[in-house]
Amino acid sequence: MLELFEVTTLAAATFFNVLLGLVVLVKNQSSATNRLFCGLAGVFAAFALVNYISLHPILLSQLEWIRIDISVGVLMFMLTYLTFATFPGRKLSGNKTLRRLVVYGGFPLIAICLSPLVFSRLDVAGGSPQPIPGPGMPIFALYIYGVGIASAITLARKYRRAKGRLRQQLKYIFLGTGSTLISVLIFNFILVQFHITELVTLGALSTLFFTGSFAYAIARHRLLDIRAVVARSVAYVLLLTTFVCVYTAAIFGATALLFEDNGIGALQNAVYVAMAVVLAFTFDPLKRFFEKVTDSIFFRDKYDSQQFLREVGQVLVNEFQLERIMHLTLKKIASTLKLVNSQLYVFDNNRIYKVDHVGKLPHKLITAPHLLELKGNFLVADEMEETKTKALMDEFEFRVAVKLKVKGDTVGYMMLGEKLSGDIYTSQDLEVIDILTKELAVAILNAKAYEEISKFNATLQLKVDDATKQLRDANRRLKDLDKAKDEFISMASHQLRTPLTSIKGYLSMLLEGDAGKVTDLQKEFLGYAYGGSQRMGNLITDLLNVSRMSAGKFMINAAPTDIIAVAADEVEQLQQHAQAKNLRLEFAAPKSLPKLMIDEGKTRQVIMNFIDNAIYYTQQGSVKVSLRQSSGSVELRVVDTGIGVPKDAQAKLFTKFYRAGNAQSVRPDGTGLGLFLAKKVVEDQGGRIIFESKEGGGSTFGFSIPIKKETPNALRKPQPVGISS
Amino acid sequence: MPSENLNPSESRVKTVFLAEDDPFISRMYVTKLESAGYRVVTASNGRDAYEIIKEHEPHLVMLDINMPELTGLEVAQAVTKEGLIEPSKILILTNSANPADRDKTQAMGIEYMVKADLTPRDVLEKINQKISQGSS
Repeated sequence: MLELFEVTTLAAATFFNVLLGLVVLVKNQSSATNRLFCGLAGVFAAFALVNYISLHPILLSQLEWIRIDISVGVLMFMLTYLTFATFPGRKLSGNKTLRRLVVYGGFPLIAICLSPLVFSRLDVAGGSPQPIPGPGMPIFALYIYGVGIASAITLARKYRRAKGRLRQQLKYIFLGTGSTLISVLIFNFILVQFHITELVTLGALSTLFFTGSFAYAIARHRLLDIRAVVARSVAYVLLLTTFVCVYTAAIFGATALLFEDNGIGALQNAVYVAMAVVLAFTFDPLKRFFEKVTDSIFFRDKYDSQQFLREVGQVLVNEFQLERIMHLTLKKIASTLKLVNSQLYVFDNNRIYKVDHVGKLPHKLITAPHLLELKGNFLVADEMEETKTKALMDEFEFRVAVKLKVKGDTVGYMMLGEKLSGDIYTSQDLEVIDILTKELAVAILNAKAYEEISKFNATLQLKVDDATKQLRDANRRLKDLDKAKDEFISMASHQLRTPLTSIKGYLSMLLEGDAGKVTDLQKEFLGYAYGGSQRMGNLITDLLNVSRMSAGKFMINAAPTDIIAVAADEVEQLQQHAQAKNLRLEFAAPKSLPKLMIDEGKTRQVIMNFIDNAIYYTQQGSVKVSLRQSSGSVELRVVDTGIGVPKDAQAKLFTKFYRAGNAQSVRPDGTGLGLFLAKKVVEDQGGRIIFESKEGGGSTFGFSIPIKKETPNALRKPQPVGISS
Repeated sequence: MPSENLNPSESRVKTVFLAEDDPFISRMYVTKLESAGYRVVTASNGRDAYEIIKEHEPHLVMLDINMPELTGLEVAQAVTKEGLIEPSKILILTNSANPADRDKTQAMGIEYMVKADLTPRDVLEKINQKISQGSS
């Protein structure tokens, strides 16, 4: 019976150790801790197995099996030390010299163990075999004790510095490994020295301490991140057990109740089939039930990496505002990995540009200089040695720190705190973080660029708005000024006209003899004065017309007008002026002409301007004013023998305020408005200007105005041209 | 009255009313018109102008536009509305440079003339023409 128990326990210990080792290895092959742990579990299993075989030798002699057993023991201590030194890191760590000593010392020792040096022979005393130590025994002992003590010290040191969950895990590792090793040491080594070999089996069995302790630490303290696998395994074991028990009971029960004769009939078969159907249908709900139960026990938090990365990718692709990208990504990470706190720092010129955090704020907030002190691009606190960077991460409560880089430039940092469960980050977590931080860095860079462009656009818009406002203000001021100018001209003209009315009126009355007889000389002088007042009146009218034109108030008041009378009147008005310059002023017109639909006052002004100019710019000779009808229009011409208009000035002659060079020297005070207004008045009445000139060869100014059909006299035949003065 | 003697053909002396706030211009037209045999009644503001037209019922009215109290246009509007005188017997004689004044005047059927463009003789001729139009 004892034999059976021994074998069963041994088989279970071996099986569970191998299973544990494999699960841990499969879970994270890249981690040195996991690989070492797997090796260690395997060696423990091997030790137990070899130990058993050495007591019941097959193939080889008992002495040879014992030698193999102690070789495995050496390997056990070697791996224990390496595991302790590395745990829980992803890379082999610990004191390098010591590690080399352990490894390079261990392998020759294994060779020694396999030789007769450690155990030279086997004596059989009192029914039990007694291995006799050889000269190599002290070396073996030294190695075993040395490595055992070094392992214990390494782990104790780690334990002292560790906090929280890690400390708990270390405790169970220490307990499990330590108790197994000490048992092995006592039962398989020390006691053997004293020739007590009956308890050797206990050493092998003690590997169960290792298995049990680790199993407990995995479930209770989430050791080595294999809860999920263990939880699922437990769920299946429970499921399997339930099925086996319930259905076996059901079948046996049914068979016992229904088929007392124990014969297998058709009905019995039918019942079995029915059972199988029930089994098939209840499998799934039961499986789910156990999964749920085990999930709640093991606090699993599983997520789908692909799904998670897809969701984060969605955020990075769809969002273009920096704040939103930062916050949504961080939120997604924090909720998926179930983090206590997480922060994202975006840098700009080595300074923090924007910060966001999700979850609880750490007790101390990290600053830009601290962040820049972090050495490394992807830092995982649980896998780091005690460096300054690690100290910083511990100080600010970060478990993972990732430098966000794009093409070598640091864009920012993502700092992740502890998980709500207190778990360390799994390799799945770290892989996902590695992928998404690369994408995040690019997205942040783009969002920053977008932000800068937006800011630039806003500034540009402000500048455009400002400039537009200035232009608008300037335009309004100009309009105000223009209006003020027009009002001024209008008012000034009115004010000038009042005294002019008196001057011109009284002068005309004196000339007409209303104040008594005037001598010829007085009449001549008064005539000049009167002519001056007349020109002044015309000047004021010109100014008024120009100001009305710019104010849009220039209007043609057309009425049937006798152009002959108007022209004759103007010629008469200026006759005295021409005589004073010894010029002949002649007027030729047909006896009658059709009445023209024109603005009499303004046309009068045009004719007056033409004749007045002709007199002004002619030193000697004549000014001939003529009217004639020609194919549907009436033409007026003022032909002089004056200075003429230079060719280069002709194009601009009818523009506002323009004056030809030679005209300026003759008459410096001209306004440059007369011809401009003439063109405007003539063209507004549907006519066109007649102009021919040669510098020094006289000029012809005039207009042609169409005869409107509605005028009753329009069809009258042209009369022979006569001369009147 | 010498003016009555100058116009012996007329059985009755025609009365012309002149509203003008500039005393020199007023005197100028009065002299010219009286020498032509008209009786001239004057006023130097709009309100007096209205009262005098109402009292004397002149044959012709000459109104300046820019005057104290009432403008010439307001006076013209009032007297034509009350039937005191025909629009054709009113002359607006002004130096206003506002085209709106011209438009308003012409809309009322009243003739609009710019003083600075005319000599007193031009004005007298216009008055003779208007008065003879009325009596023919």
